[in-house]
Amino acid sequence: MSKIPDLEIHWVDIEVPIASEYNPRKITPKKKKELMESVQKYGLRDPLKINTFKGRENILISGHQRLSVAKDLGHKKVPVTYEYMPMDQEKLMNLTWNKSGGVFDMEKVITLADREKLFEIGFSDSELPKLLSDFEQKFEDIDTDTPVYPIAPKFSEHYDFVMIFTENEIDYMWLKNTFELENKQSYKSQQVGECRIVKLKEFMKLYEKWTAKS
Amino acid sequence: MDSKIVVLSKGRPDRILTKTSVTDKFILVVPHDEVDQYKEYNKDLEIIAQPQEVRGITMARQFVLDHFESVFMLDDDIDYVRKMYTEEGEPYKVTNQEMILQIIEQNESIAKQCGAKMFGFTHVRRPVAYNPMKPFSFTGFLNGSHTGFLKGHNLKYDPRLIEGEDHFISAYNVYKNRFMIIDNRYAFFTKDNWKSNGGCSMDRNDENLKRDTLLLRELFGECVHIKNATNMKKNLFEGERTLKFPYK
Repeated sequence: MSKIPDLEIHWVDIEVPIASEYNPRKITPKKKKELMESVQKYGLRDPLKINTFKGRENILISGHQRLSVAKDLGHKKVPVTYEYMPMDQEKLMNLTWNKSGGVFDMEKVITLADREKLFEIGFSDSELPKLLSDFEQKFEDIDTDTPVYPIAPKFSEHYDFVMIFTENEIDYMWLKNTFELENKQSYKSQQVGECRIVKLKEFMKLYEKWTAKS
Repeated sequence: MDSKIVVLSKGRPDRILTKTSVTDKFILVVPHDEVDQYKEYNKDLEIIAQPQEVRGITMARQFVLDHFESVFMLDDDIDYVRKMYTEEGEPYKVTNQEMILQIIEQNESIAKQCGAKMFGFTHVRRPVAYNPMKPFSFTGFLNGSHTGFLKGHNLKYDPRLIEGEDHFISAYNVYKNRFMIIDNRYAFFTKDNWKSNGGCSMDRNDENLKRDTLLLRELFGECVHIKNATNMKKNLFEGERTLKFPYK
């Protein structure tokens, strides 16, 4: 095999191309179905690209979805063209050749090249995961499993309240007597309304007392 | 009302906005070397001098906690008190100082009856965020500029914090005392003094903000989050934080 890539199409055994370990490309079930229909109807018309670089031999640079569909359809051979490039470039070309129309796992994409290169390929800032500032990185790096003051809810811990609304003085006096609501002297000339609290346990005791009496 | 109303002030002897917007019945706590200037402009108020070693807002607040059993702390730059539940067109500012005192007193009374050790008012500034079905909250953030502490609170500020002392004490209260009373019906609005002269603004800068957020994250873990920009608040300082507790 020459180190200079040719553009000749070679038919190889379907087990020869090896999916790259970093491939960030994703495909939706709908797109996969469309691709499958196309391959069924017209065959694989677009060759896969595989690497010949030492240590990266037969690694698939472009065509992961097509290879997967061909396998699903029981194809024995697939068309390939050979490329020759080190791993860094292989990753960039994987992104470049798949950029148009591709759906990507962006968390994987940002591990393949720096942001400037990704912009050159055509990714936009809004597509890529947010770049963490030094501060955000430090914040994320803090171990939150063992804080100094761990705050965890006790069993069923939750605070809430209900209001009891009365519409006349007689009802209010009944409520006040039954639930032993104390007088609030400071509200003689109040403009904001009174608020008396009876905790549930206390309420239950007073309610039992009241039902026993009546 | 058991709590003393205390206003912390620094560098603004002639500009205590709280006196006209909230109440003129309070005790002033000021740096020891500013007492004379404060006396000149505030003849009718009791003034307590912070000792020389008290420096920064965190130590100043701790000094107040050490000094008073039950206290409602106010900053000196409260612009106005607003009702959060008003309908459009309805007057929303509470200008009657007697009424404001009663609002504080009612909150204190509720807190005492519930057994809460900290009480205060919503820090939310947008009335549209007010949920009339939820006039009170029991865990959350209490802005240090208008927060009450009741006898037996057992709380102490972490002196390492420079400007995040109110986030610390809110979270520490949840850790220690489990809940607080936050009256969502009223808000105390401060002037936008983030970087103006005097008061706490002297301690505020971007580095302290980030530094304190990281420290709070170490102290309280997942309860501390970085604030995200929203449509309503697009411009945030890096390091602005929010508290989220695992129960309500």
